[in-house]
Amino acid sequence: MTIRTAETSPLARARVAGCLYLMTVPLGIFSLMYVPSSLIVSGDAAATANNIMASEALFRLGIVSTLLGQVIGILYILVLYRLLKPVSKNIAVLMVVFSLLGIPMTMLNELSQLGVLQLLSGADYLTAFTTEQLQALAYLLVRLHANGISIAAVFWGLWLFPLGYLVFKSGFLPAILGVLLIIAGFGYLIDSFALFLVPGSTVAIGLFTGWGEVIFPLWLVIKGVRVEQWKKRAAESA
Amino acid sequence: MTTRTAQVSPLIYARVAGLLYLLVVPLGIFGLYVSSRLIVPADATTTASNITASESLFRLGVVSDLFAALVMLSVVLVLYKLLEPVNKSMALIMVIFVLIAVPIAILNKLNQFAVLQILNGADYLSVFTTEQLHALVLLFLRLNSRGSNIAFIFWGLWLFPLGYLVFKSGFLPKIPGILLMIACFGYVINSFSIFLGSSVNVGMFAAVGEVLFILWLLIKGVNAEQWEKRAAESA
Repeated sequence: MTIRTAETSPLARARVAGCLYLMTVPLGIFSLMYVPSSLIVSGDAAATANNIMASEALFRLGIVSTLLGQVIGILYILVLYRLLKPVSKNIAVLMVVFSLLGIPMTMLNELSQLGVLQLLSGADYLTAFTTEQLQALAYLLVRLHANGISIAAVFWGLWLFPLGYLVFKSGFLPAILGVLLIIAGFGYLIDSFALFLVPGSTVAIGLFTGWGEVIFPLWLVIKGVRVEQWKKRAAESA
Repeated sequence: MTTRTAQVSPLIYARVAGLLYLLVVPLGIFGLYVSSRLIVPADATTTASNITASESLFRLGVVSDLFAALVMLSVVLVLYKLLEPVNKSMALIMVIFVLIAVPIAILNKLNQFAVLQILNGADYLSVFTTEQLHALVLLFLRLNSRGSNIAFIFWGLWLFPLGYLVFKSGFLPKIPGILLMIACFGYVINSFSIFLGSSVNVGMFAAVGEVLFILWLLIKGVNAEQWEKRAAESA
């Protein structure tokens, strides 16, 4: 959270944004890949339910890391806005709007996961259902959660277009990073829409297209921005 | 929102913000009252028959929750005008946190509408036994309270920039600022502890800072001279 706005150097902003962005990478890998791959058995409601009950803490940590990742996301988006505003204020605003729209969706979507925990809690009132029925309902919520992620991921992808454009045009960050971010944006959109349109889609190109989202924050942390170019830009846009 | 920015006195902002914020208190209490009247935590059948018997009370509870979220939206916009001279970035972060809380809180009410759907006795629901329908009612009520826990991450988070701005302002006392920042942690810890499977209930304690702040805005307002000085500096 930048406090001394006027004096904060673009390098400090780049480092803060990069560090916060990098923090969300392991959180995302943990909650989006590790937890589901270790607990969810595709098509098998009973096995999935048993896995979740046996590793309830892991499942809960997945929920918490999704929520934390989103909160951290708000912070780095605002820092990126300050960093990239001199390139084009309109596009920078668009970037903030796209990314903020994804946040409430992603966070409320975790309610499905909390619903899974309710269904598998063994509470007395649930004895109206058979174990198979409860497991089937839990699995339904697991699937809905995954689909909800795909809806939110439309915005996880969309904000990368204005971000990539701003980086590409900036002059104070390498243009290739902008290209990689736009490729990552397409990755999210293609994965999401494939899932919406094609029954049983297993398209997951995000794993291959997502490198921009690792390299960009690493660049911000290690190399930062070219301060002279940034100051020139900022002076022009003021 | 007000267009004649230049002429509106900070005292008016303070009073309007205080009044609107105060309005949220009875709305929130009413929501809690409805839940406590109708919901019997471990008893699905009693809960279901309570809701069926007092459907309009249940619906009023949903509407007051919706209103509370919308009123909070106007509170934060007025507070933005009041506190922007202290630090514009912080004031924006404060607004954004509330803007994120609002859609979460509002869409979460879908769970309560699901309860009404399940209890409306429609033909298509007859494939389920009555016990099953009642169990589903309790499930959606649980989901509603978990969804509130998610929204409360942000009902907590916005208090941090708010408290910081109050603390730094010079035209409001520092103590409510500190209490508001503490309240932020109260709500956030509350929510995350529930997600992790325990429940540390520190939320009630957190509300003290909010109530104190509201009362101060209403009774004392702000130090207008200090505010004008701040506004002139930041312009």
